[in-house]
Amino acid sequence: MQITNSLRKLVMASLFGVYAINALAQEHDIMVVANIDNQTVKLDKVDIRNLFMGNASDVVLEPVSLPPQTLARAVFNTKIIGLTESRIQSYWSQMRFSGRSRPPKEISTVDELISYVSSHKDTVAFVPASAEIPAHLTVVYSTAKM
Amino acid sequence: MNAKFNVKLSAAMLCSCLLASPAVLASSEKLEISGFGRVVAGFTDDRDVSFEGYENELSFQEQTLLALQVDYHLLDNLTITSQLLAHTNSERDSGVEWLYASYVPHSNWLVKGGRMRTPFYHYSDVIDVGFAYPWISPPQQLYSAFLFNQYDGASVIHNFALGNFSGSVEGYYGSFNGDTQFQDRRYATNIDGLTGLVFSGVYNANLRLRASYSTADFSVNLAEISAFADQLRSFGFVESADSLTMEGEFDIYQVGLALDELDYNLAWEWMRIESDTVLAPNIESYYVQGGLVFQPFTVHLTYADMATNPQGAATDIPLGLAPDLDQLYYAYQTVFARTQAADLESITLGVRWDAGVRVAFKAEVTHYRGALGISTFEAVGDRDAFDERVNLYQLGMEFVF
Repeated sequence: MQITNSLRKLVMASLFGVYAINALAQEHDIMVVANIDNQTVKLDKVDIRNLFMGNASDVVLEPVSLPPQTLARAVFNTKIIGLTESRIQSYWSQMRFSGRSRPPKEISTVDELISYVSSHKDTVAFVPASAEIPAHLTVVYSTAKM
Repeated sequence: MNAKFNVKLSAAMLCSCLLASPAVLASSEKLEISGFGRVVAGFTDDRDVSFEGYENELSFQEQTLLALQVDYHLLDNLTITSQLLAHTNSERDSGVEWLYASYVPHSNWLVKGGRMRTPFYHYSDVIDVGFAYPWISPPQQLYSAFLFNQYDGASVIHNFALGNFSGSVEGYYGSFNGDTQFQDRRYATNIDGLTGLVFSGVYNANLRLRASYSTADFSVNLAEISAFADQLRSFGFVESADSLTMEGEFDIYQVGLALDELDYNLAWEWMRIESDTVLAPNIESYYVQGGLVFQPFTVHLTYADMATNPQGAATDIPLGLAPDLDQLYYAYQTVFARTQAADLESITLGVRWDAGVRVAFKAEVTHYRGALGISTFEAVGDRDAFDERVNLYQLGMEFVF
């Protein structure tokens, strides 16, 4: 009985844990920022998806990401990539172990990510919409209504 | 390779990666260690046949494996990659599965040379990476071990973008000299002039398509059957001998489409194998698959079908002329019948639970319908009792690191 109870708790926790992060993702916004010279550049969702999924793209920028299970990444997956984290992981295992491409570099916190993009030309990253961005970075996309 | 050695190899690999990875990664970005593994258990509900090694008895051996990938970046654009694999299936070799150098002369070009996996179908080159696909056993009609899965050669990949379409073209050339496994037995195989072209692309970043063509000259030594064919040839029955000889040219055509959305996915893949050899019949297979995502679970349903086009037996051994010839005639007919392929139809219902970022558990049941044949079921009990219906039950754990 106790085992069934703990099993139920475990299943519920994992179910609602993920539901919670998805529901939360809907309520939050992110922006995509790039370190580029031309500050008038805007990207569309397909450009960004291609960049972050390692597909060839007309835009040549180095994508940098946050680790799985961070809120900004959940928002990015849900609103821009359009795939769940598990599907993205499974996709990257196919790319990596068939020697085709590798997932974007991951940086553990938003502050470190912003400072990495600030100091590296031609990089692109997503950050929470509320993050403070240095003036020389360009917001190339935002999920918030402007 | 025996099971004991496999276990030792697995243990050694596991230790070396556990010991090596954090330390080495911290000290240098030149070396990257990653890997994948799977623990799969399965059994069928039929006592009369075996299917891809599975019988009416729970087995963990058929697909359980552990692999370690080492990438060493010699230069910014030059990497050496090796994949070591330890397998519990005694019919599969453990050891170096991939060993190649990859060179990126320009951001849209990738050149690889060495020992690689043959990219026949969408998941062919990651067939051991269960984490990469929804099933425990990808549709056998396309992904059976019927074909060889490695080659030594070179491959060139070019990526390009055209508006909302992002594509790549791969050309490869090579050869293979080793064993092919089917129905749990291994046969010495020679593949020459393997040439292939793969076109793949993504439209709107979520609709994937893939089309490929490959061709090669092949010869497979079928042990006793080849010996019998040689005997027939020495008696002058060339047509009969040829019909039991696995030698010739094959062509493989493949087309696939896959749509991935946040809460569902759809996939379809089709292939056709043509060959000029009686023993290797023309085969046409496809599957359609749909999945619904209820995070962290994905429930999927797959229908798959394989149609073979077997050719008739040779007619150059006369019947009724002499008792010795009659005996040879019947021996030939029996051997010929045992080497025939059969059609196979299946429905698979499965669930994948992504329990963590790098661990997934899967369960699936497949209902197969098909006759005995080299491409399907092998009789282990009474050949005549087999009702041509088998259920295969599997449970698996997949992980990457």
